[in-house]
Amino acid sequence: MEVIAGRGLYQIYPGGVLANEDVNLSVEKGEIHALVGENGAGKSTLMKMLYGEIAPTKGKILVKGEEVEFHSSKEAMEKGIGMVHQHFMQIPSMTVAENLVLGTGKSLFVDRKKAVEECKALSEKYGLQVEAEKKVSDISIAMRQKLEILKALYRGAEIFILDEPTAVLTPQETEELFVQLRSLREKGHTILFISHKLQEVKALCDRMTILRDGKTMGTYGVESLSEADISRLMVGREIRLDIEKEPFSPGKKVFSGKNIFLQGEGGKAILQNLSFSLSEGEILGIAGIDGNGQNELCQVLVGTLSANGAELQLFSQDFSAFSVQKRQDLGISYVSEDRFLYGSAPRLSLEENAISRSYREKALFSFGLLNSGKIQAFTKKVLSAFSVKYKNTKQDVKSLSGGNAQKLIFGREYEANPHLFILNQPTRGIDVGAIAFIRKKILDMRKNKKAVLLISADLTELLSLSDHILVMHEGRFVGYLDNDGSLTEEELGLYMLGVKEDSQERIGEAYEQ
Amino acid sequence: MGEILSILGKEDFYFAMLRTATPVLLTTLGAMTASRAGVSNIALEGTMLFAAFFGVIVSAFSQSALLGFLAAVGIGLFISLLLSYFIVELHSNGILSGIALNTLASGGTIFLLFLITGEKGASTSLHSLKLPALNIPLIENIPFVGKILSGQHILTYLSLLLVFAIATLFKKSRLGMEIIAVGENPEAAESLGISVKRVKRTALLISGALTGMAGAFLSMGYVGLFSAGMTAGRGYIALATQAIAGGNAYLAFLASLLFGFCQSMANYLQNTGVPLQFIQLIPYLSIVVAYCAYCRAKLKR
Repeated sequence: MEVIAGRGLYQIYPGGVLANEDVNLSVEKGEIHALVGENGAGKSTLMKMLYGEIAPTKGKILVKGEEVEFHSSKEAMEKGIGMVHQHFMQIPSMTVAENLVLGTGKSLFVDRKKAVEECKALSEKYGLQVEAEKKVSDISIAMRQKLEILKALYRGAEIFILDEPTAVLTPQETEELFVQLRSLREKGHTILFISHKLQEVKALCDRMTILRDGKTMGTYGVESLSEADISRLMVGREIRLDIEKEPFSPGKKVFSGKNIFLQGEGGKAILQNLSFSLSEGEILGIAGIDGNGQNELCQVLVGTLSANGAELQLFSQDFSAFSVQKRQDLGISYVSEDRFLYGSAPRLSLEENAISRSYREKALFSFGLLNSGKIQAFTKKVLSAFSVKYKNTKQDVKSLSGGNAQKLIFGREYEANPHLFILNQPTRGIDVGAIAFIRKKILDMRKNKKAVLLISADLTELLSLSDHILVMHEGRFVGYLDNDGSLTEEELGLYMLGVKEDSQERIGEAYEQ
Repeated sequence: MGEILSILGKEDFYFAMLRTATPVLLTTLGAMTASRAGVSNIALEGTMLFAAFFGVIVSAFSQSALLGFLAAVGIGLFISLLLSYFIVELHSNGILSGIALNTLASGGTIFLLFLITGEKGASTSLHSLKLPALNIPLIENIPFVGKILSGQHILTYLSLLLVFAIATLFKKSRLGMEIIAVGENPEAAESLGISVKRVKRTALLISGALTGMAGAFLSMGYVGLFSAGMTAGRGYIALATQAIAGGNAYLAFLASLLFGFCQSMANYLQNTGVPLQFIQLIPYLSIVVAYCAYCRAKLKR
């Protein structure tokens, strides 16, 4: 039986962007149906229409054969559709149980005791373990995700839309989630699983619908397509993500950092005694669950956070007291984890963003003033070297797709020709084509004898690029691993969860005198 | 020093402390309700001033204190509705909208006062009414404490009840929970079917009603007249006391008492040799100092 379907759906955003064009989707009851496509292919738009957050410009949505017209997500909920957003829709200062019942019921007062009981009963029934009386701010990401699923169940959802649910999970947590999703399927629920990780789709889903450039490329049984077939349907060309790497031959030592400590509010240790070094032609990966100090470590190196007492050196020159700008001049480039929050000024033009690092350089000036012709030429050079798709150099960065914006930022930092390249989640949330491009450039850096520090939540990426991998857990290094080909994602996951830990001597080897 | 000690021994001093804390307390509770919904209600000062003005005018022309009080609360609601229209519907900047309303109030009340009475300073020519003070049986007979707690203004008692009401609102009620949710994560609230606009508007209206009461207390409490600029910055002080209280209604009461304490102390010190201007500064300075101390303590934690 078809439980949810879209027929000939169009979505034209104000400004004329055609996000969905004649999209057709049909999901059967009791299946796990994948929705795959590059970023910008229109997955989120389709989801938003199915969940009532936006209305389709044209076309029909059918729930259990009945045509529906949603004016809000509340109406979608009433029809049994539940959504697990990528950004959890939770109130951190409230307890798990309070979050569960929030927005339901009509009585004047809230019965907390009943909420806790209901939470426990529901969690028991579906095997989704949560701590009902804990504050959401104190529970793990994985538990927050379970809460999100429970919330949908509590509201009577039979059809679940999960938006890239595994992006924030370790391999072990992902495995657990899959077990729970399969058990939901056995209970007769239907799951729409949005992902661009093809292995996961193959491991979990029954069928999949592929989106490309806002159009549906058909629905297939997962068994009937290979990963290469899927990626060809997604991007229209075959993309090889497997990477050919030259053997590791480190040169001179480029960077060394010693005794990096950082305390947060209330004296809580965020970074504890981190020491490591990097050589020419080395890619050092840093693995870890989000929020274990990776971002702070980057900030300490870049200079936006100061860690007193840390010894930071580039080619034996101590730069720990240097400003951000002086560090850049010294040869440090940084691609931050959030391209629109830190990496660029999204409302400024491509030109302004392209020169935001090099605007002091003489090459851009004429008669003591910035020369617009030179700026444009420089911008075009960066854009073409990194094959950014754009209309003109005056358009704002926000109007680029995520992958193109990231390529621009990456290109700007790359063009500065740094000695040390710090990359924080360089390929997060961008399309496969851009991922392949950026990874190739990272390897070019390595070939050109640069030192690359690569922080990534994508373990495949770390394993395919890094020479060594340091694992961070609660602000400490808990593992230092040679990436010699035998290392697996599961092994990394054990370190990331804090289950496994290397000896102090072994971790000390990351810092070479 | 000896003088201060002798003041601290007087029951009248504590009586005055509660009295002067009342308008700040009401406004603080109002600021808190708005703030928890994620809106900074900068317009408190102007709302209070308008309420004080209309309380006097309506009570003078209707010769009903109750109608005057209702008018004050009503105008509080109206100004907040206006503010919520700017902020919630038009997405205007809350600070600019608030300042606009405040300046409108300070000029507008004088203008209206002049139109109605021909005076620009105070409504002395109008015979406006006051709301009553209440003696509480039994409590009034207790020595010392009785003289402090009994015989207070009806709105002072109301404000104390409202401390419990607001505390209960946030702790127990569905609306309170929705206000907190909207303030903390509006996107999440919206996704759960809570109307962010409705909740913000409701919180602003509660804030307006409470501030309207504070205005009524100023012009219909003890003096029984409206004078230009009579709110004297209490609406801004309430933003600071609210920040100190951080969403806790009981702390709001304590922070307002601190203001009352200093204001009352300042009143008593007027008869000593200390310059008047300095004395009038004390209550405001004390809140600034208290807020600094609070922020420092929070930073260290």
